[in-house]
Amino acid sequence: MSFTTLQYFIFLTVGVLAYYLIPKSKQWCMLLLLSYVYYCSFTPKTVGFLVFTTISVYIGGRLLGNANDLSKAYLAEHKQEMSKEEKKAYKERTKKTKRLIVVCMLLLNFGMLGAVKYLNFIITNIDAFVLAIGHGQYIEPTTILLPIGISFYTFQSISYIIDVYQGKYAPEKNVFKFALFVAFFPQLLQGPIGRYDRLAPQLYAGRKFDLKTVEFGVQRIFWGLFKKMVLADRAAVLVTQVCADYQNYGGFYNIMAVLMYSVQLYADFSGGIDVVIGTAQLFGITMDENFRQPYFSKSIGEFWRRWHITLGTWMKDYIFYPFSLSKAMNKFGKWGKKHMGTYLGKTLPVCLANLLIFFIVGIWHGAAWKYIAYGMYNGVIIAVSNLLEPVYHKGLAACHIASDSKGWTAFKIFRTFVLVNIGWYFDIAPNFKVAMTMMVQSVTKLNMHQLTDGSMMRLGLEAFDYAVILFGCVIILVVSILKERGIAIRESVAAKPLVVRWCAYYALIAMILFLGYIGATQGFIYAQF
Amino acid sequence: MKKEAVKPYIRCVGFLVGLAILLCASDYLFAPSGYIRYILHQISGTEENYDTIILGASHARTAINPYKIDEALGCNTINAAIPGETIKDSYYILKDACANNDIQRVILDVDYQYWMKDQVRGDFSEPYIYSQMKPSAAKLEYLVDNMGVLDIRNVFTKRNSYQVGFHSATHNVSVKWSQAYRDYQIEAAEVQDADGPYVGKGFFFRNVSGFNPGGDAYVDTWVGRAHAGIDEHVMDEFSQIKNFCDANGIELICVTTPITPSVMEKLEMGVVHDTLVNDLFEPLHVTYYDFNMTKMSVLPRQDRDYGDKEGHMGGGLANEYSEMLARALKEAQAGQLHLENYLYPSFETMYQNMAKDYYEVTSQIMNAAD
Repeated sequence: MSFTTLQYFIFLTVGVLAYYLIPKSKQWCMLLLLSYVYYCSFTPKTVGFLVFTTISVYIGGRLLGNANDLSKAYLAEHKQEMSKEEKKAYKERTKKTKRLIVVCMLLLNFGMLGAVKYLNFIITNIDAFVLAIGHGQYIEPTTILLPIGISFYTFQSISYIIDVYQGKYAPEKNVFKFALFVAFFPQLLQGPIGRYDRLAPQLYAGRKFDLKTVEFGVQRIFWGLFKKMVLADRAAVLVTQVCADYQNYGGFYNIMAVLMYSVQLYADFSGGIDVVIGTAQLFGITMDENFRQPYFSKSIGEFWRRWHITLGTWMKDYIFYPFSLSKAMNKFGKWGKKHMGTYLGKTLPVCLANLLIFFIVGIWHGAAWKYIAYGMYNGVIIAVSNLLEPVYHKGLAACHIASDSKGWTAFKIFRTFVLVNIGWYFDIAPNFKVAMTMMVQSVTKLNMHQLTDGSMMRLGLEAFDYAVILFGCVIILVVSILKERGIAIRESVAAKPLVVRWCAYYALIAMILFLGYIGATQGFIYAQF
Repeated sequence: MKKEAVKPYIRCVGFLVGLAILLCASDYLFAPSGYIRYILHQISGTEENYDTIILGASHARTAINPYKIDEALGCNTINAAIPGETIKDSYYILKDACANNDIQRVILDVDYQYWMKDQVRGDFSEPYIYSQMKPSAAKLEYLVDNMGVLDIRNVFTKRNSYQVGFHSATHNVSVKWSQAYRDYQIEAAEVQDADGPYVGKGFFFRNVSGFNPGGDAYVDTWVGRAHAGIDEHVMDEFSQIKNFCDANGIELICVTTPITPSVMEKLEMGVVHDTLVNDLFEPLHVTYYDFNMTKMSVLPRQDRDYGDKEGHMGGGLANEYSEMLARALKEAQAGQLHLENYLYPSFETMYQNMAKDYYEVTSQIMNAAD
C-alpha cells in the first residue's frame, strides 16, 4: 500500500473516521488493527517476523520488569537483616540476570535481522573466498523473504528493551499495547525510529477529533507528496540512466547524477517522512522529526545530527555512549593520555566509537560492501576531523579567519555538501567497484563540452524537467531558510486570511498535479531498508 | 455557539468543492478529446445495441473491418480495439459494453506484444483508458480492483493524458466548444495515429506507401521474447474475460491477426503460438484461430501491404482479411469450418512455402487479369 495510491488514501480516510468514532479507551485498538492491516497489505507472509519481535521483546521487557520488582521487594523486605556487602552482592546478581535477559533479546532480534538481511551477504562472501582459494564447495544462498521494515522495527524494539534494562521506564504490561508501539503503521516502513517514552503514551491516549490537527496532518502529507512526486521521481530518471550505463558516462554526467541523487534522496526520504508524520498527525500523534535542514550542515558530524536524526540518536544512545564509556575504552583512554598526550587520549576512544557507529550505520543500510564503505567514509571523516581539530583551529588563526564569519560558514556548508555528495557515489552505484570507477571517471572524463553540447538534455530529462527541479529546490530552500530561522511556516500560513491560505493549498495541489513526474513511478528508497 | 462549531466543517466542504472545480477545470483545459472518448461513447452511449464486439489493440483496430463481419454473419459489430489496450483494459471495456448492449460474441485479437512476459505494470500511463471512461459500474470495478496500484493523481483526473501548456489548453477548449465534440463525432477525436480515413464502427482504413515499411528497430526489441512465456498477470486477466463470457453466455473467439510475413520467423511466432495454445487456450477450452498461419493462397500478403514491420495492416489487406475472418466465423457457426482450408499445417511448412505460394497465387491473379 504505497503512500501515493488510492488504496492508501481510502485506508487513511476509513481509519481516521473509525478512530474518532469509537470510544476513546478503544482508540489504540483501532490503531493496532490498522497497523496490522497495513503491514499485511505488503507481505502477509512476513508478518510472523513482526509478531516474533513483538512477543520476544515484550517477554524480555516483562522479565526485566519482574527482575527489577523482585529485587526491590526483596531488598525492602530484608533491609534490616542484610549487610551492605550482601546488598551489593544481591544487586550485582540481579544486574547479571538482567544483563543475561538483554543479551538474549539482542541475540534473538539482531540474530533474526542478521539472518534475513545479512546471511546471503555472508554466504556470497564466503563463496567468493572459497573460489579465490580454489576450493570447489559452495554454500547455496538462502531464499528467505526480507520482511518489510525489519530494520526499523527491530531497532525501535531494541531501544525499548535497553531503556527498560536501564530503568528508564517500566515495561508495558499489555502485549497488544506493546504490539502497537512496535507496529504503528505510518513509521513501519521508513521510520522515524520512535522511542517508547515519547511515542507510547500518545498511542495509548484517547483523543477527540480536532479539525485543526487533521488539517495540519493533511498539509504535511501533501508537502511530502510534492517532494516525492515533483522532485524525487523526476531526479531519479537521470540518476538511473547514468548509473545503469556508467561506462559510457563520466565527468560532468556523473557529477550531475550525484547532484540529482542528493535532490532525489533528500526529497524522497524527507518527503516520505513528511507523509509519515502527517499521517500520524491525523490521529493526533506527534512523531519525532527526522530531518533538520541537513544540507545547511557545516560538518559531516553536524550533517548526521540533521539527517535521519532518529537513527543518529539511536546510535548515539545505544552504541556510542555505552561503547565510549565502557571500561575497555576508559582504560584505552588512560593509556592514550599517558603515551600520546591528553588530547589524543581523550579523542581516540571517541574516534573509535564513531568508526564503530558508522560501520553499523553503513551495514544497517544494506548487506553490501558499498554500504560498509559508505559508513566508513563518513566515520573516517568525522574521526579525522576530531583528531585534527587543534591543527584546524591553529590554521584558522594563522590565516586570520574568524571561524564564525559568514564567508567561512558558507565555505563550510559548501565543503560539507561536497563531502556528502562524494559519499552518495556509494549509494547510487550498484556495487563498491562501480562506485570507485564512477568516482574516478568523474575526474578523468571531465570535459567542458559535456556541459555545452546539449548532451545533458539526453540523460532522460528535458529542459522543462531541469527547470522544475530547480524551481522545486528553490521552494525547499526558502522553506528550509525560514525553518532554520525558527519560523513555524504552517502556523504562519494558518494565521493568514482564508483566501491566502486556500490559494497556498490549491497551489501546492496544482503543483503536484501539473509538475509531478508522470513516468515510471518509483517506490520510496528507504522503504527498502 | 453551535453555528461557530459547524463553521470550520462548512469551510472544509467549501475547500473540497473548490478542489473539485480545480480538477475539473484542469481536465477540461489540458486533457485532449481523443479517440478513447469517442469509441467508449460508441459502445456505451448510443442506442446501437451491438451484439458482436472486437477487442484488442492497434493491430485489431487497423485489421478488422466490422462491416465485413456484419455482412457475413448478419450481426451488428463494433471494433472497440484501442491502440495500447491491454488485456486488463479489454475486460473492463467488455463489461462496459455488456452493460449497454446485448453482446453475444467477443472477437479478441491476440497481439503477441500484450501477452508475453514481461509486461510493464503499474506505470503512470496504465490507467489511460480507465481515466477516460464515463462513470459506470465497470469504471467503479476498475477502481476497486486497482486501488492498490492506482496513483492518486489518476483517480480523479485524466492526468495521464495531460499536455500542460497554453497552446494545448486553447486548442482543447476550441475543440470542446465545437458541436462535433458535443455530438461525439470522430472529427473531435483528432486521431493522429491511424494513418488513414475513418470508415466507421471503430475501423480505420490505413494507407500504405507501397514500399517496404519501416520499423525494424522496434521489431528487434522483440527478438527472443517468444521463449519468455505468457505473462502471469495477463493469464489472470484473460481468465477474467473467459469467466465473464461463460457466465453471461457470450461466445469468446480469440484470433491472431497476421503480422508482416518477414518478421514472423524472426520473432518466432511458432513458439508464441505453441505457448498460447498449450499454456492458455487449450487448458481453458477457448476457441483460437492463429491467422498468422493463413495460407498465401487464401490471403496473399507481403510486407508492403502493412503500414510498418510490426504488423499494422494496410486498409486493402485488412478488408480481405476481414472477409476471410468473417467467412471462417460463419463456417464455424455452421459447424463446417475446416481450418486446413485456411491455415498451413505448421509454421515450419509456412516458412518453407510462403514465398513460393505468394508468387504462385499473385502470378495466377495477374494472369487472370491479363
